[in-house]
Amino acid sequence: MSSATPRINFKYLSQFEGKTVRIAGKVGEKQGNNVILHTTDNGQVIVDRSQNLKKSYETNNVEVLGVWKNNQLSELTFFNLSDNFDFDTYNQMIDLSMEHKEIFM
Amino acid sequence: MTTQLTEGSIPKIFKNEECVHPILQVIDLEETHSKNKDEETVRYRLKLSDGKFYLLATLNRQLNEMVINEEIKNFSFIKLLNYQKTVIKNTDFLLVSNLESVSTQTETIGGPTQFTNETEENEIEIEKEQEQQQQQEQPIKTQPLETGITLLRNLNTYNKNWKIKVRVTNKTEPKIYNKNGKQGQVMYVTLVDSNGDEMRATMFNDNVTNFNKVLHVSKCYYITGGMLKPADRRFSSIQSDYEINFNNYTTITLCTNTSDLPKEAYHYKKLSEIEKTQNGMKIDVLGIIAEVGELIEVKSRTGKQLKKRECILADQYLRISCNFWGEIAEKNTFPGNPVIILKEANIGEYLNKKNISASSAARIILEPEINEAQEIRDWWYRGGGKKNQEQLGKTIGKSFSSNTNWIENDRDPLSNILNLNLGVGEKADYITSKVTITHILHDENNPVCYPSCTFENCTKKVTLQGSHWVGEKCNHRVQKPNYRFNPKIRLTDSSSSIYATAFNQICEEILGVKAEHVETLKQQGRNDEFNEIFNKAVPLEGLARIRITESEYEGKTFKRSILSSFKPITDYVLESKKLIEQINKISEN
Repeated sequence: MSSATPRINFKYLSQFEGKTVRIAGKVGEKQGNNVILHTTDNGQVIVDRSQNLKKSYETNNVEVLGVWKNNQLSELTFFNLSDNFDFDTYNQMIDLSMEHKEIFM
Repeated sequence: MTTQLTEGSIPKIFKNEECVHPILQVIDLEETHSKNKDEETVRYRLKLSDGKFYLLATLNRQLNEMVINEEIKNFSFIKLLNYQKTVIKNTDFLLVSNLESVSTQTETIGGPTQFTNETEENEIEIEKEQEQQQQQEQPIKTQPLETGITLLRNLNTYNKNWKIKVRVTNKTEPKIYNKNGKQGQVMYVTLVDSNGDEMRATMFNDNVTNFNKVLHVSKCYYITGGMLKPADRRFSSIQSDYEINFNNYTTITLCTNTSDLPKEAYHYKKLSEIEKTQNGMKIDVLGIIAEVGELIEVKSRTGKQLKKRECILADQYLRISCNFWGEIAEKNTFPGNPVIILKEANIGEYLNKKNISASSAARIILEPEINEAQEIRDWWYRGGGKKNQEQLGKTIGKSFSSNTNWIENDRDPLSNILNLNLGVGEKADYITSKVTITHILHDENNPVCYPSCTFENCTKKVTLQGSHWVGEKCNHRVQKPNYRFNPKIRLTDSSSSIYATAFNQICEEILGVKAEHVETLKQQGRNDEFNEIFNKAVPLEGLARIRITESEYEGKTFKRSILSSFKPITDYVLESKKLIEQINKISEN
């Protein structure tokens, strides 16, 4: 039985090498098939969209679900977030859930 | 061919479990003669063994020939084909009706012992004891390990030939009293037996003098003879229906085989029980000494100078005033906030607040080695004592009625309704909880609205009488009733789930329709539309203001909850911030 895909932010990425994760952030610059995602804790993640090019981000804030490998997040799917998404509260939630892993993961 | 005895067959036979034709050994075969109306009958008695255990047996007379012609001899192995188990004078016997000879032997195999009720229990007890060495609780046995001992809970007035084995856990000083001009003395002791049950014993006059020399606290005794009387709970908190009066027929013998007697009987109630118990009754409670006062002198009504120490006893949910008097106040300074069991405390009330007091009859067990005491200690070290200060206002100044800022209140989990024993007392209790409405009862047995009076501001129920609707309680007569909501709504949170009744205004907000419309749907049989209204309203998460009272029905008390206000969560960011705030508060403690 697989467990839920963990929600993380930039600083926890190193713990999830090779794993599928969800990261939320502000959509930044486009570079070919890649997009820069500005995470809730002010990190920058390169998202490789080549597997999911058919769908476009509809909002400025998204949550990307993908595999973190070789310093890139290979996107499998994404979720649109509202423009007034509260990143600060969301970030605190990530920190709490990492602190209490046994409940969330 | 060497045949073996069937291992484990005797216990199976004893327990009436299936055991097909076991091979057993005959031991101690003997001939008995009995005379019955001039007829002499010969019967053979024996023991049947499986190598480890044996049972007593008798051969049916038709098998006598097998013994006479030596087909069966002492030490023979036989195959048991048919038998009946019976009990004669408390001993189990096998009546053997059919068996087969297997082989002859020359000696007893193994060193079998008789299998009885106790054999079985001993085996189980050894297992249990090994398990429970890891736990801290004492094993509760329903049968004493020692034969001939009656458990305190089995004492009754019909059987006077009892013998108890008990440890004395408390002994009062002999007290002199005056009755009808005569002077007498009385003394009480508290006894605990191997089952952990407690009972009080009393003695008067000469028996006080005699037994005071013999009975000592923490020592164990065999006791026989004495009069069993119903216990008087005004004078003792011990949970026993009876107490014993030691009289001239009582014998008390010191006992040294004390391994099965507990050192203490850890019976106690939680502080929340105090609210429910009548003033003047005695109680045993568990709590931590949260505050200790100085030793002060107080003048009693009779002019006597009494020593008093005021303390606060607390647990994770409540604090209560606990006053010590006399010697117990002098001797105990309670350094370091100990957890205690306070036994035989008196329940009182002062300015509408319940309190407890402890005088010479009370007893303190410091730092009892039980899980609940450890839980209180852990809670205290996490700073529990400080948080408790807030709850003090809630429990002791209990009624916060229509508080318009209820949304900002600290939230209670629904489980607090029972844990804090809310709703007891004259005024109702109110709590604020974050809950989800998970269901609204709307089936045939649970009407969701009622016909109400239309007079001015009256909302009482009216019933159809002839051509008019009449109110039982308001006596108004109206042509046509209004309909008002009053369904039972299920509120759930992570701790518990309750049903609360909700009234018209709240229901209109939650359901988005008026009661009249719902009633029309019902009367027109439009059940799908009717059900849809209630099904689509849930689940609904929000802040609830709940009013709690206690009612009695058919002798039982139960809590009644009313949803007096409800605010659905709409601002998720705000709610998230609130949750983070609450989580951080826990981490601080």
